[in-house]
Amino acid sequence: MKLIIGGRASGKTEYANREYDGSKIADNINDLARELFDSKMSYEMASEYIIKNYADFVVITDEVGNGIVPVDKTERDFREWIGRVQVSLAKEADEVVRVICGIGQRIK
Amino acid sequence: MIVLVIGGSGSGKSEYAEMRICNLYKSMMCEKAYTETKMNRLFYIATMQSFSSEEDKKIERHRRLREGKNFETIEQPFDVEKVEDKLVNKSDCFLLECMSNLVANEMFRGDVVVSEDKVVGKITEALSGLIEKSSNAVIVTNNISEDLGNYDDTTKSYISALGKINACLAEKADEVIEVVAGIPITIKGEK
Repeated sequence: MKLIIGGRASGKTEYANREYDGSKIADNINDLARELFDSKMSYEMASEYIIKNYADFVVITDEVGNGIVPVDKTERDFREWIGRVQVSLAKEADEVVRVICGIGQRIK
Repeated sequence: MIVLVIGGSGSGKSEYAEMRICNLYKSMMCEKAYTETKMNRLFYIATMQSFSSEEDKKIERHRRLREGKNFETIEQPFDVEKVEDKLVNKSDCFLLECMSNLVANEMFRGDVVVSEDKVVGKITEALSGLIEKSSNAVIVTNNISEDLGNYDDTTKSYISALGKINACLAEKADEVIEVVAGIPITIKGEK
């Protein structure tokens, strides 16, 4: 798996299309993750699920943890939960790229 | 070595910060002068207060994370300058976890919200004092300023206070590390 992480509209999709032309791209994994979260799946299980099903994909994920802690408990929990999923995916991935201002920085 | 660790929620910054301070502590233990005196200590300055079972769980998780790592925990939700008396040796190491809680606790500690300037002044002064007494520190902070930001004035002044403190600490730090998905990115310092 290759993982691309960055804020919303930071240029991740464009980066993936440019740099990983011809690869299978999963954009945006947060939607799937949210479904798993809503079905009360633990972050460990969800990570395992994504790792298993998207092993040969370029997986794109939105960084959502860099703001004020949400007032709503479910949103607050999801924010923490997806962060841990991202850490697990990054551990498993053979390549991690952080995109900011459309510029990709290979951090793993 | 002063290290500032910044990251979002669930980014893995705490695990990274603990690893760094433990390594700094170990390297201190290896220096002959300190091994002979056996005087150096490893402190964990915990700033989170619990108001509900949600915080209890977070605190519990952090306790489990640092179990068996020789930390002496100091619960200091505010008035962090008081820790200064405990840092007796230059070789003492401390990890402060975390700045976003400390700032919130200082700002919202009474019925009246403390002004941004006062909070920034108090915390930066306190941290300067601690850093002067101890040559090894890892400070954990949060990036909380990258969302829409359409909050009330109080929240805005909180965001602003933490931002100013982060900038001030980054200036004093030898290294500033951003943790993204558990991976450390060097913002300041040798790569």
